[in-house]
Amino acid sequence: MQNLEDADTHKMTSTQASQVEDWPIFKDDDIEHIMESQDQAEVDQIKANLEQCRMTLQDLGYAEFTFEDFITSYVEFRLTTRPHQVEINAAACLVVMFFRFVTSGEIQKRSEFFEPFIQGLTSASTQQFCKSAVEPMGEESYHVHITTLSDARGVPIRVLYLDRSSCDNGTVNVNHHDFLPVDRPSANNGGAEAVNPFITLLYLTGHYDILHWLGGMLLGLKLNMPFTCSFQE
Amino acid sequence: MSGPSPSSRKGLSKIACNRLQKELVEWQVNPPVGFKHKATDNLQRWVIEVNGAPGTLYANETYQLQVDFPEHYPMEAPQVIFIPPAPLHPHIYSNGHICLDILYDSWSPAMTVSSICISILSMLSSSTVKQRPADNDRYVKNCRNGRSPKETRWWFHDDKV
Repeated sequence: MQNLEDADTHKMTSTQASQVEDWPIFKDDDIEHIMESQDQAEVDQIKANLEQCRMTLQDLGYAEFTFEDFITSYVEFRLTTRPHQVEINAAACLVVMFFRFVTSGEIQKRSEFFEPFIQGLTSASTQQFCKSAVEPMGEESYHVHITTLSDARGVPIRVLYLDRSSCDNGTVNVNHHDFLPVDRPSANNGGAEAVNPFITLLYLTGHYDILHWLGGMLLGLKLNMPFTCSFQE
Repeated sequence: MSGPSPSSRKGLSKIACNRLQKELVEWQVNPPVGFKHKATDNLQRWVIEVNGAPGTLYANETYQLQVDFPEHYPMEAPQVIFIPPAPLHPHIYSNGHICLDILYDSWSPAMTVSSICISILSMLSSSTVKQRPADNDRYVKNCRNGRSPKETRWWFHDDKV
């Protein structure tokens, strides 16, 4: 972790995101990135990545019909042009669930690696953790979830957070932590080929806002999610 | 008494319909042990016969589960209740409502009707006493207006049964 030296030059605004919204973190920016690049090699890589995800879930014993609709929704969402706002919200929930499946599958596939991190959070087994804290909609995204998703999708992410420990002199530092997928060579040698995360999130207690670069400014946008899972009187 | 009728709610979305047809086919090929789906032409409401597992307090007893699917199944949990008379169990109210986390907060689209059935049978099988929840009368009275169990704010605190 390091100070974001040029934070002052970024005008940052953000609006509060709902709990469910913590998850569609790759949606907008990832798609924009792909559409801009229109790179056949990248499209092929996405297809291979989806196939990998399908095999992981099958190997773990998930019935195909429980996840195939979410893979389809994800592909449709990426390949079709932007639908109306209402449809975006409905589709975004399906995409969020797709990412929950990806995360759950990856954690269970590499359970030996993730076990120590999960034991720090709960006494549950890796599998129980996935059933209770990854797969249900509305469950929060912790460090483990982001690391996993970044790895599984091969997408680097930057999370900005405010450090209030230096508040006494009236300033708030903006720090950041980069999540770099493990299979990217530059993540390990940290040198020659610097990874530039194109997804930036702002962490505020309990949720993340998606920050977008727009005309040289970093902006937070709000998406309204249709069905959050709260059953209150 | 069997909860709100599905006809009073929205019909199934395309994804829900598609998913339920696949679940039904899977059920016919590979039904969970101890359960029988009662065939109807209503995809949005399933009625399932439950047989208590041998060697448990509910052996040789038969109950009926009613499963109602919302428009956005499986993103939203189905409503699952016992059609009274409901089994005597510390987590099952006399109006058929079931206190089980996966039916509410902990539901995920990775679950299926079949996996719900297995969880319910497991909940019955691990019971050591046939009795109603302590707050049964108060809860059932509050539900008289036909309130769905999904509108209840459940508090899950007992992981033994």
